[in-house]
Amino acid sequence: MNNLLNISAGKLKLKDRPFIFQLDSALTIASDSEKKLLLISGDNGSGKTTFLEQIIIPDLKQNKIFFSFKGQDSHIQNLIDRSLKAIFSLSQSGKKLFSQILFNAPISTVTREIEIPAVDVILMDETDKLLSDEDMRVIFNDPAYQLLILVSHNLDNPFLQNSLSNFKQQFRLHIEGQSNIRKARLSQC
Amino acid sequence: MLKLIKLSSLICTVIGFFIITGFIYYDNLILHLTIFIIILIMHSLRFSITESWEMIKLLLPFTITIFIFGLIFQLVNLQGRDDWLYDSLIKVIYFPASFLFTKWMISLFSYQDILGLPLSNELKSDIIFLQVFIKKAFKIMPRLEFYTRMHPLIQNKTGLKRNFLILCAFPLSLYIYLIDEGSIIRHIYLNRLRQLEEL
Repeated sequence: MNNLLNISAGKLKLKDRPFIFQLDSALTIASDSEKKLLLISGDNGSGKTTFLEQIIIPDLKQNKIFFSFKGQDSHIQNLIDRSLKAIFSLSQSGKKLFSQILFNAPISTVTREIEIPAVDVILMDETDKLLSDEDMRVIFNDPAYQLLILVSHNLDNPFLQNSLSNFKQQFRLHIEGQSNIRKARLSQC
Repeated sequence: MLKLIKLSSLICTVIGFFIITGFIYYDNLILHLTIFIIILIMHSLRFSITESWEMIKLLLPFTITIFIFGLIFQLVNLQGRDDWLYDSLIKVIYFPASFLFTKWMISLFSYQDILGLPLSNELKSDIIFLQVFIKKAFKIMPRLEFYTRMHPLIQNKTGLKRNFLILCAFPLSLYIYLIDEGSIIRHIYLNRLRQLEEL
């Protein structure tokens, strides 16, 4: 069976960061039909985003897992969505556009909504604070993905606590400390 | 006026460098090597050894290509010439040297120097906007590239298709960002200008 995540315990080195992570036990999450949740918590500046971007994402890439990352820079991601929408709109009407240029005809605007393919893993880096409960409910109830990785400061939020039953397996990774070695403690709920 | 003299001197130095090294003493490999070492030291003093090395690494694929072509032409004795290897060695040294030299010269003329030139206020404001744009673009580029590569529509493509999509989406996103930011910055700038005029 393939694993969605397969990160060994021990010291995890980082790029361009003055600290490392010390993971207390292996973070292994199997790929199966069960829906899983990994909650990442920790104080501001403890390295939650770094853990996501430098440890989890490279591991997903290595395991060839298809994922969607909703980061804190939502304005940047919107730009990419806009440009991809423009590119795909153009490619859809390529033949028409070519003939219009050839015959010097007015070029009509074509827009096409981009369809995001179903992913195995969704990563949300504190984006829960930007979304409404209804938006979060849609994500929690989405049957397509296997694992939701959520970095959040609002783990005690009643809505989030009530939604935990959507997930058959729940893991929690708590990152501690501000020193050169940040301790990442993994527990399964 | 002083800034204009400074700019003229720098332009003359660059032109002089290219005339001397690219035409008058082009065939002198020892001279090219000496100049390259001097420029490398000066560039490292101006910036840092790491930055000089990064620039050399950036140019390495081009210099290696020049050398390989020179070697192949020498081996096949192209056009009956037997100096292909010597010529390619000159180019291998001359190319990074001229690049580092130009970069070093440009760095000597600062943003403040540009604003000190006798230019119209409109042109100066355009220069200020351009500098703000460049700063904003450089700041956002690493994150933009990171998120572009992360996008599910790009993730599920492979090989050339993937790279092509990145090459299209990345600059287009940057362009949209700068257009958006540009209109905001210009609006703020004109608003402040109007307020100052009213005062």
